[in-house]
Amino acid sequence: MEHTYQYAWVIPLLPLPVIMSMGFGLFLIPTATKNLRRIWAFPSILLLSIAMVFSVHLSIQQINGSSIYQYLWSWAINNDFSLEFGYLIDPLTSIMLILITTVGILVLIYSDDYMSHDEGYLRFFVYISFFNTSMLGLVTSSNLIQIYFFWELIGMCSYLLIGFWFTRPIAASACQKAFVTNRVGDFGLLLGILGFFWITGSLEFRDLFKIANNWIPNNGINSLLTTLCAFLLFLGAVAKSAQFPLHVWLPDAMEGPTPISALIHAATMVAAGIFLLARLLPLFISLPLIMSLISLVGTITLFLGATLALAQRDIKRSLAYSTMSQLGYMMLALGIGSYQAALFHLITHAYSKALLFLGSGSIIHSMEPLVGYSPDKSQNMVLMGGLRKYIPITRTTFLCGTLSLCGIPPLACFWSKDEILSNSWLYSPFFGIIASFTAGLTAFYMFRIYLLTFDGYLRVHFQNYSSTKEGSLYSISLWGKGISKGVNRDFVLSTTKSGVSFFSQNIPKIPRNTRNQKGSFSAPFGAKNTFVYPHETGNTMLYPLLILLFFTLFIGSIGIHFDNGVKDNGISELTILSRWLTPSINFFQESSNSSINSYEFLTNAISSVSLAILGLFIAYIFYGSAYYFFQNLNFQNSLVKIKKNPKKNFLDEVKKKIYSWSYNRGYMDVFYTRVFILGIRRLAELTHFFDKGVIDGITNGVGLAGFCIGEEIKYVGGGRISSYLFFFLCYVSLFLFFIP
Amino acid sequence: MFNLFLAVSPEIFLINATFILLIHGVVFSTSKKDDYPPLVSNVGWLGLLSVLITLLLLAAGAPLLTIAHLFWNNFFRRDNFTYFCQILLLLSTAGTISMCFDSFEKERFDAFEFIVLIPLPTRSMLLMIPAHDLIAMYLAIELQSLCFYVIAASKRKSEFSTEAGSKYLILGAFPSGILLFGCSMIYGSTGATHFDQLAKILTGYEITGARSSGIFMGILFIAVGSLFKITAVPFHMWAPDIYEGSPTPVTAFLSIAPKISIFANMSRVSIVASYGGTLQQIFFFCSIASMILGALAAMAQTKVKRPLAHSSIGHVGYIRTGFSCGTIEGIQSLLIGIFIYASMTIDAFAIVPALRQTRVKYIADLGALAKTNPILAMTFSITMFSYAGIPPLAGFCSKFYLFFAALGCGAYFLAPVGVVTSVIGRWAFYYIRLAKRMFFDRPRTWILYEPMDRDKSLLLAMTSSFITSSFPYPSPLFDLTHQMALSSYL
Repeated sequence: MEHTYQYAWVIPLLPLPVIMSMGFGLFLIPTATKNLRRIWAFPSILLLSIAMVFSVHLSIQQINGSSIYQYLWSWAINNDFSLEFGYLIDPLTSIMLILITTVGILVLIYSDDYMSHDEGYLRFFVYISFFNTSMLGLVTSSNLIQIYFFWELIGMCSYLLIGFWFTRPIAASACQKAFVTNRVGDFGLLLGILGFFWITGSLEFRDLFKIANNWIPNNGINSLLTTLCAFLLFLGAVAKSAQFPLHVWLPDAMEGPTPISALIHAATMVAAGIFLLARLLPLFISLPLIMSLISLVGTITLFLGATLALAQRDIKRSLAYSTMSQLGYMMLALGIGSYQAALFHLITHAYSKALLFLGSGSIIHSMEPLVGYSPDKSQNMVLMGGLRKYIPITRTTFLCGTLSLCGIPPLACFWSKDEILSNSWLYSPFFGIIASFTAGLTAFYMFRIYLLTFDGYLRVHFQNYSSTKEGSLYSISLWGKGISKGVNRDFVLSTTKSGVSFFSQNIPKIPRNTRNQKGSFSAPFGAKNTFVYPHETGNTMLYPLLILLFFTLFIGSIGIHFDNGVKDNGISELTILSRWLTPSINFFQESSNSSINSYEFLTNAISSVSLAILGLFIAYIFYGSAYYFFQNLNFQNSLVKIKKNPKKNFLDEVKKKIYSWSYNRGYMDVFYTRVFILGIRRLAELTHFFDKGVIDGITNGVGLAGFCIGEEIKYVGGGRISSYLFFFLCYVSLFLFFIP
Repeated sequence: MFNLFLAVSPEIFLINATFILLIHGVVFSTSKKDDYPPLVSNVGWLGLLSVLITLLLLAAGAPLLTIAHLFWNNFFRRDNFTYFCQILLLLSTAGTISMCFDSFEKERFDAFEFIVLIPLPTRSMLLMIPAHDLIAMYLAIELQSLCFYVIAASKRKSEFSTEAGSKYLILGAFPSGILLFGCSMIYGSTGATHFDQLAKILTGYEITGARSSGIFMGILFIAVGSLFKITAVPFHMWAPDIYEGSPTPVTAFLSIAPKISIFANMSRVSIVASYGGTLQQIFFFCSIASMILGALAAMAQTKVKRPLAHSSIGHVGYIRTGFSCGTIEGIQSLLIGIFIYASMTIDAFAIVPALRQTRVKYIADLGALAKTNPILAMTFSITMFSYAGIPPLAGFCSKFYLFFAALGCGAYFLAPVGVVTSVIGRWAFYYIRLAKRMFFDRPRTWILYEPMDRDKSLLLAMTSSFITSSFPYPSPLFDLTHQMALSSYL
């Protein structure tokens, strides 16, 4: 029993030998290594599987025995300062270990096929295995310094992988953006760590929690400094988990290869922020101000992410915004103190989102031969549609992922999201309203993605043989209508109607757009590839999808409340997850207890599911097959009542605004560019001038003076013994007289 | 039970070994039967062996001592401090000998006496480290100096070497006299020569507030003598001349081994004689002066060995900041400094003779070394960066702890001066200049150096791995030096 714990340090180190041998191989014998490249995938998957077996074993022990195990080595010890490093195995760690290893293995298997024709196949595997190592290291860390160390490593891996295709300028700038944005958070994290070290004198979690526990009886400590430091720590989590002010990097990060988006930017790395907060929750819980800040930021993010996802054309970008929104849910759950719900959602979301991303990779893979290898085209949902005929397996898995994320009952995300929703209602109606509303919105935009991709018919060919006018109408109205639901879901009918006038207004613009679109993408391969259809991807890519589908279907069961009626001291729930998590955290029993009641659970579930279904339905109306019916209707209507309702104009204005707000990512990127980047450029120019003129002058002056003095000294004495002795005696007498 | 014979067996062995080596050399090099063989390499290996055996004897004979032991009429004192200092001394001597072989062959320098002259001062330094009495101290210092005078002039046919030797002799006589004068003044004022007695008397003086100009002058003169030997700044002028003139192995030996022993000795004296803050102030002044001069004077030099001499002056200045603190942390940081200084200097001096003495005299000759001998150039620049005190290397460690200790005891002027001189002189102009020469300069005539021999490359591998690895895992060094500093106060 103990042995497993003792050797747990090996988990993060397991993938390391492959990385090193691959790296050295690339350096020393590049040709041979590259010729054998497909072989390298096998040991990296194998070692990660060993890590997975190990972590599964650990978590079984955690479920049964649930003791926290910590092992420390001393690294540098001084009188007043000791730094130790080691590892910590507790329920949180074991959950994260399983999550990382399972998703990691599936993504590795997947990317073997996905990247098989890429020049940087080995480089990719080195990076991704190194990421796995550092992520596993992060979750097993036992103090804040270690956390920071691995935090930076995963940041670096993310940077390298986003810019994996660095020859593309967009990818290059995207990875820089991600890195710089994360630097803000990392800086905050470092300051926070140092601040807490200053306050408490320790970097160990144990000591921190002990000190924080002492604050709780005093109704939390109100010291400004403590709050500031906690805020700075939180800033690190905000940047890494793409929360509101620092979320801008996540959508751009989709420039990386799709397996990376699945592993790093959906399942694991972005969860690092959540993990950090969950790890430090006993500390944060004693600072009510920070807790409310966390929940506020979470709420803003979940709403913002959902609205921004409404009008994206790029399939991966929509998914990225959805990730951001779901992370907002977790943040909210942590902020309101329902630790268990947050972690539950973390797990379910990770599997569902990894499924969705891998599915989108499969879609992209199948689209690429048709539309070309530019991500502008192969990821553009305008050009997709009707894929269900061609790639049925991907479609099925993608649908399940979509439904899970929407919160449809038997699937994973339903259970977790429902828990978060009910807890947020209990905490504050404000958060509850926004969270539930966003749940509906989630269903809408997720189903929009699904329908645009799989429903209808393939628009690449459609562009070629359909009449010009109709085709362009379709694409215009597609985006025009996407927005209206975000605002007023109560006016379902009115939106369909309002689509009418919007539609008719836009008619003058149409011809220009048509030309552009035709010129841009249909011309080059229209002649050649007109009748090429997408193909299902290879088995190596489909197996991970199926396994993830399995997870998506059943992972929810670990958090389902079985009402077995075993009521001892008020805790009647028997969920595996709660058994797993209970010992590490005792503060949240009240909130989780309140949701035991099966009746209450049922009402909550019904309301949330009905919201989700409403969203689904609306999406279906606008993007599904039924659309054509409405389109025709609109078309007729538009002829009839062109200037019938003046009030509609105002609604159109609103809609247009919201559409462009969503499509332009809430103008936030523009704002950041204008304010921060330009401001920093100006400052840089100023400091450059100062540096050139003043600082360099001083430095050069000192250097010059030093050089002159050096030349002088060279000739003092001149090598004569007599003068040496003279100086010697001079100094002795000087000492004798002047030093009392 | 403290075994006296075991305690002194290393010294006894070394003396005997030296004489046997001498006899061996005299007999065989003059034997007509063997056709007057060149013995330098043979004697060199034997000398290295005898130093290593001494090391073994030392390590085996005197295990870690928690209590100090006085022996031989209380002339010497053996504790952890002396134990580790002696080990370091022997290691650096072994390093010096092992870097000689190749250069002897290259330079046709066939004088086995040179090798004999290395263990001899080593033995006197071995005695100097545990010396706990003024008489013992003086005798050990004198013996060491006499050997040095000869060794500096060991290359008889070179006028530089003979000039260096004679200069050293004449200039060295004065501080020896002053040192002895200081000792006699102290004896005249207090009637004691043993350090323990002196410590008691001086503490008594300090408590009662009485002042005695005799004791004060005595301490001052002893300090001046030691400062001369250790090339502190106002008394440093002989050093560059002698370092440059002597053969390179001698320079290496002179700039490593005596530093260890004199520092060990000085730390004993300074612990005993912290009388009225006299020593502290002198050391304080000398440290600052050494740092500034070491930084500035090295800049204008065009030869290779002269800047190394200046750099050793500067480094000794840094290390001496440990004395000016007068605390246990100060002594500890001083010891760390010596350890790291010794390894860096062995490193640097193992490289310089590898670049054949006859050609490399000027810094400009190092041009494009990175192209011709990339690994050598990299090692040399690592050493230079470590000298400059750049973070992931050992030099940073030593400087950091020295300044840390200086700040800890309130020397708020010393530490900033140290940092500034460290940055100005070394960083920008001097160490980096060497690296720049090696990596970025394109000389008109390319000098191709022969690859290094195996002894030296082994030595370089050991020292440079110490330089690079002592920062990531510093705790053994800290523990060691902490124990040493602690035991010297007990």
